[in-house]
Amino acid sequence: MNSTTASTSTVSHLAGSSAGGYSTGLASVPTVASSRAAGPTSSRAAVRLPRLGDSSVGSEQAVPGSAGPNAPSFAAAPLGSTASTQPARSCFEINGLNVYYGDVHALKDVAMTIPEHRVTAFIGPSGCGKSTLLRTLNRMNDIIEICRTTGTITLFGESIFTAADPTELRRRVGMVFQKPNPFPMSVFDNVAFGPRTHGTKNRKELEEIVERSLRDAAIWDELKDRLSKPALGLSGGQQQRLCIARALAVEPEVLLLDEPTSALDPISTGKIEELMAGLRERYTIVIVTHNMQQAARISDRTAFFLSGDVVEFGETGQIFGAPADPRTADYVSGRAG
Amino acid sequence: MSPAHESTDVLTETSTWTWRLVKERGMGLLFAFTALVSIAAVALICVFLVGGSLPAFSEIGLFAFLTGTDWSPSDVPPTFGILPMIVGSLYITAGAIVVGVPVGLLAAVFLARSCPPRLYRIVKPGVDLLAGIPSVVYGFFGMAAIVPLFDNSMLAASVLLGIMILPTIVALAESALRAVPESYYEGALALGSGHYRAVYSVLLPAARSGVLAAIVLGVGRAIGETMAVIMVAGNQARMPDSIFDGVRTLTANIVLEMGYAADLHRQALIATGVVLLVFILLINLSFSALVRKAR
Repeated sequence: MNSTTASTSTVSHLAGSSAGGYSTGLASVPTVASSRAAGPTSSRAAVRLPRLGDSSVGSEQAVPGSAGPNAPSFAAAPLGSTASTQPARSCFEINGLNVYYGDVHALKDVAMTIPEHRVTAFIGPSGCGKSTLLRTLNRMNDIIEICRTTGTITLFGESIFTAADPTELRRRVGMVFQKPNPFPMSVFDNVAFGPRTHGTKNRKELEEIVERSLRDAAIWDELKDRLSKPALGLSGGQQQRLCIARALAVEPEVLLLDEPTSALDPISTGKIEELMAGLRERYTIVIVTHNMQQAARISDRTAFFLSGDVVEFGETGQIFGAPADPRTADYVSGRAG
Repeated sequence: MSPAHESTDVLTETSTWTWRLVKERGMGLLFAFTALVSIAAVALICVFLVGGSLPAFSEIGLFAFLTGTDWSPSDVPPTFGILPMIVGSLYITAGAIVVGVPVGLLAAVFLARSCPPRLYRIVKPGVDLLAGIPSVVYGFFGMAAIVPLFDNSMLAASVLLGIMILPTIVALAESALRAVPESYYEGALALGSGHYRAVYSVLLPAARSGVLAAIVLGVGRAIGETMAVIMVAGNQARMPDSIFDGVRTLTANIVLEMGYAADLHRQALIATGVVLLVFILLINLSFSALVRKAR
């Protein structure tokens, strides 16, 4: 919670009087929407910029979806990068997805399209099925014996369930876990594990991959002199960025993050959020988070889950600013969940 | 402020507390005593072994004793060289490792990572049962099933010992593997690694210390084993030329001759026990070093 308090206070400071209510907590999140009604793009940009240090963020989020008169600001958004102004190709298409753990119906008839090169956030109370969906996307649930899945998921048009062996899918769809889980080996070997698994043996090639991945995860400068040191000696935040680097080393197309910052301190959380803002240029990112400010800060689209149902899925600005479903409104305003 | 009944209360309470303290102290002493008994047993063993063997070491000479290749206690004058038995023990133990460690480790990996629960309920007690079978029964099994194949030989003893150390290795290596966080396995799978790649390149290295400790403990069991080895190893007190030769181990040497040995012969057998004890101590030291490293 420290992280959220810290960041919201920054936000309220920078966003000026209109966001004054923001710092008091979730209950006032809807005021962001009203402030946006006055000057959507600018206030939104002011809210997001200092946090992410990334000018490409948020042309789409600035548009509160169905919120009416502000829609044109989509085109007018001066800060949008090409990635976010062009209509997104769909990455995952999920249809009629049901997941059961034994007798527990964990996901109920889920249909969703996850756009490419966007950050999609899954929010909802514990046990609502958001992590289940995430783990279904790279078939991590295959290792749970009592897990049963029906329905279809396609990744760029191809069913992810066709191949008997999920390893190629998992190479294309990387995953970062809630608790940093570097292997008990050196930093280098951690990052090189994936490429080695997929057949890269050449030392020089591996060195290039390791450097590139660590740079992409914004941790090269911190670790370049410690490549042969055990990864378990790093701080929690460094470990998590190392895990992101490790996931990037196999050149995935999608990055799934399962509450990647919930075990980290505010500073590390900030670094990882910055990192995600940069990574969305090249990767499709799906993140499960319990931290609603985080979802609001970093995601383009947000899905709200409740007991296995996707209650609402839309532009992040709309979900937080003008949720269509009263249950979503209750949750994002802190009245339920 | 202090009515009569209250002061009696204080008194009873004090005596209750005193009694509790006595009980606590008493129990503490009892535990300390039982702990000392086991330590004392080890100390006494060392004292008597070393004391009983000193004459042998001084009369035969440490070097001649350890490196002599001729063991002829009944000759005149007798010669006491236990190198054949040292070599026999080491070879048979090495053979047991070659046979038992790969099988034991793979079995542990299977039990820890791949075994369906229904099968586990059968296999696991079966492996544990192996540990409880008396070694003389292993000896019978060896005579009936292994000796016909390999004769009374080093090979037969190695195979039999390899089977005997399986439960130790399987149980310890399995628990070491189970102690590896599941997140390592998931992390490897999430990078597109297959099940066995994850097990061999992440889980086994992560459980390295525990697995080595399992092997070391198995070695300890193998080098100390007596009865089963006597029944299949042939027991010739001479340097073996091949794995098909019969050999005598340190343990067998003691058991086979203690019954009729006297004087220097008897002391030489006790000295054999000292050598065995030193081996066991070395093994235990490396075991505890590995366990410490595992934590």
